Amino acid sequence: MAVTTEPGNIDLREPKGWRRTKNRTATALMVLSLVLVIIPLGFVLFTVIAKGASAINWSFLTGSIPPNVAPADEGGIGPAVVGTIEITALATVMAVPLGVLGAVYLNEYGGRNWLSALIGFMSDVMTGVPSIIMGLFIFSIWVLHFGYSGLAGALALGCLMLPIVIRSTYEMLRLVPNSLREGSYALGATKSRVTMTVVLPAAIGGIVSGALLAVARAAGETAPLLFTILTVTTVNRNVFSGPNTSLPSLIFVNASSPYVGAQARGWGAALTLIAIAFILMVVARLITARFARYAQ
Amino acid sequence: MPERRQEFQRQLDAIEGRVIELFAVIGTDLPGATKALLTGSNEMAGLLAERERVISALYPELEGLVNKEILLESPVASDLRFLLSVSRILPEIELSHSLVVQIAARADHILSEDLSPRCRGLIERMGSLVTDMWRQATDSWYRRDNSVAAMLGERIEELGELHASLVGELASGSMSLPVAMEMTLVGRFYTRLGDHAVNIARRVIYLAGAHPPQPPD
Amino acid sequence: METPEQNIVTNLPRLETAIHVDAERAEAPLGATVFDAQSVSIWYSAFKAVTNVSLTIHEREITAFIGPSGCGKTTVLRTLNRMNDLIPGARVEGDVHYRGESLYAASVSPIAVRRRIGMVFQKPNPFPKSIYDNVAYGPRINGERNKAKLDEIVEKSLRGAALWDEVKDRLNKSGLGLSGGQAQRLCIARTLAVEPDVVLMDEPCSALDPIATGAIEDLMHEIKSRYTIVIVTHNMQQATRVSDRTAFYSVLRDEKSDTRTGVLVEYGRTEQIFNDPRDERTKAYVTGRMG
Repeated sequence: MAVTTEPGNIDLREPKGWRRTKNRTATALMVLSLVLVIIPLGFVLFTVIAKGASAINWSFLTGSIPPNVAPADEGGIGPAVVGTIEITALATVMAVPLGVLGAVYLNEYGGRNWLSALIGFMSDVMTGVPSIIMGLFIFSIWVLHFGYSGLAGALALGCLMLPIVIRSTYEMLRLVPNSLREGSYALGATKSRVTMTVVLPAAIGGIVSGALLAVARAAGETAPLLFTILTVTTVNRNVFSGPNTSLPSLIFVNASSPYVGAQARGWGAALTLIAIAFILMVVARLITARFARYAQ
Repeated sequence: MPERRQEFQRQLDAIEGRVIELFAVIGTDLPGATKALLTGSNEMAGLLAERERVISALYPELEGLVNKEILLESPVASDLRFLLSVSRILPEIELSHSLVVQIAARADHILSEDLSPRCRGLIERMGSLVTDMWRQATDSWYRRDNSVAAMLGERIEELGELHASLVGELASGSMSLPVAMEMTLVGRFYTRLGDHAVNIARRVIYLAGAHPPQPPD
Repeated sequence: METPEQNIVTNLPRLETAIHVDAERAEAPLGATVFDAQSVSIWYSAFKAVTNVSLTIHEREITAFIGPSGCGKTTVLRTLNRMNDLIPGARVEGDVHYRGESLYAASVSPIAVRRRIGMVFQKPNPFPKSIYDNVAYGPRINGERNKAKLDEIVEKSLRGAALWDEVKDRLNKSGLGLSGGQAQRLCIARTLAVEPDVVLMDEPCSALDPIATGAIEDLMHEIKSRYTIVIVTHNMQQATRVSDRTAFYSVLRDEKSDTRTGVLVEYGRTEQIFNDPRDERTKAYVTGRMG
């Protein structure tokens, strides 16, 4: 239908007929999709909160893990919390700096050379590796020689986190406009100065939030820990030797137990884990906002 | 106003200042020339010729400055109209002063006693009419008054009538032939001066535009 | 109302001190040679972007580079402070001398070059830092740590860029919060803070409105006495307003290989280029008849 511009013939109202229907149908479908996505998420959240909330209290979070037969109000998940924090922190310390530096190399220094292509390719492949394979990998090269330990678990988690950190940091660095780099070069800065004083500060918000998301993901992994930390029930503050435990591992063990008490503790642990992930997300948002203060 | 444009404004003001001065030179020299002619004063003629020599150096300098400002400053609106108008009236000024000098120079060629009283009277009246027209024209430039051209267009008729009478008087044979020939030239000089005055007033129409600003009093 | 004639005493002595309003614009003595480019050709890998450019830039002058798109004027400008080094595959043939020293000798550090020859870009690019940190950036990477000294440098540079009065109360606010004209002046202040010898400007006003443009042009005029300035501009009126010398570049088309190369057509005093250019191509460009 041609658009006519003769005076008196101009129709500026909403398009009628099939265009309007098409528009409305598309809008309806999108809303429907949104609802369909939110429903299961909400369902999961609701279930976990409902089932786990009753178990949460300070003694629960710090108390030692009782035998599975113990009733719900006895004991707690303390060692698992400690374990999760220890192992995830160690994994973060190993994976994040390495990932950031790797992404800096890819974006700032490597250009089109073969090493960058290789790193980029391997990183993408690693993103797709199933987490249990990571666990088995660390099992075969580390645990078999040095035994179970939190460190082994951290290595496995680190391997999971690394490609995520590399990819998100790389994207953030790419988003930094080249005009900023040029401005810095034009003032007589060396390449490392440009990267350290202009590029990284400009991307830091995105890098940190990307790293925190990787941490949140790692904190919730179970499979890689199966073969590396060998779930125990006591606190092991030495993360470098001896088996350890973590929240996901505890949830796994308790959920497969027939005892009500254990299951209740499992639900509590699940809620704790979700809460930790949630807190990390919020912190990520706050950090991004703070660093974006200068980037309005 | 940005500093650079202030600089440009100063240049324009300097040009305007010089133009006004040149107008004033002619405005005073013209009655002087008439008087010189009628009293036979060679001294005045000499002085005016000297003045002509001095100001003739100004014309190329002003022209050059106007050309430069148009080239480098990309003027628009009143700035452009001003510069173009200056460029157009500089020749009028140059020719006008040259005419004034020539009028005075005639004092060399005749003795004032040779003029008939009627001729003398007509010359005097033409002189004062042209002086007056010149002052009105230059005043209209200063005040950016675009209504003067029409009025001067009428006065030029008056001048024309005086000139016709002068020609009649010269043809009547009351003076010797050489003197009459000199006075014919002088009559032409005055009418040409009147034309220049009218031209200047006409230029003011473009210069002033539709909404001329009031100059500070 | 007094008529002017009654005001002005037009006697002979007065007119003898006649106008020399031209004094300020009169040709100043030729400054020292700052840049001397000899048969410079610039390649991007196999593509010859600019061919055989030779010209000299003089001290304390504003030199304008004009020409159609793709004629290489920005490429040549960037050659003067080795910014083309950042583009992989870029190489320079011929030589460029800066105050007698070759810019492209093996022993020359591009970092040192850029500290003496600063650059302002087409689109203002303030860092996402505070205004203070933006201006202090250059001195800081040069090793200046003393807070008092930095304060002094920041104020002096912002004053030099005619921005101090507008931002002195909000030095710790983000540099990104400034308007286009202010942001560009911030970038100029940042460049001036390292006290360069030369300031290169790549179409600094093309993203700005006329008033901001006027402010930048005023600034250029003011700092001209201390710095040598080379400006690339698309705006010919700007070239006539600010520059002392103008270089006109054009595009050479090679029919056989279907490539376009930039070439320097004419270089001379601005008045001559725009009043009476020697080359037909220059005439076609400045009168708007090119293309």
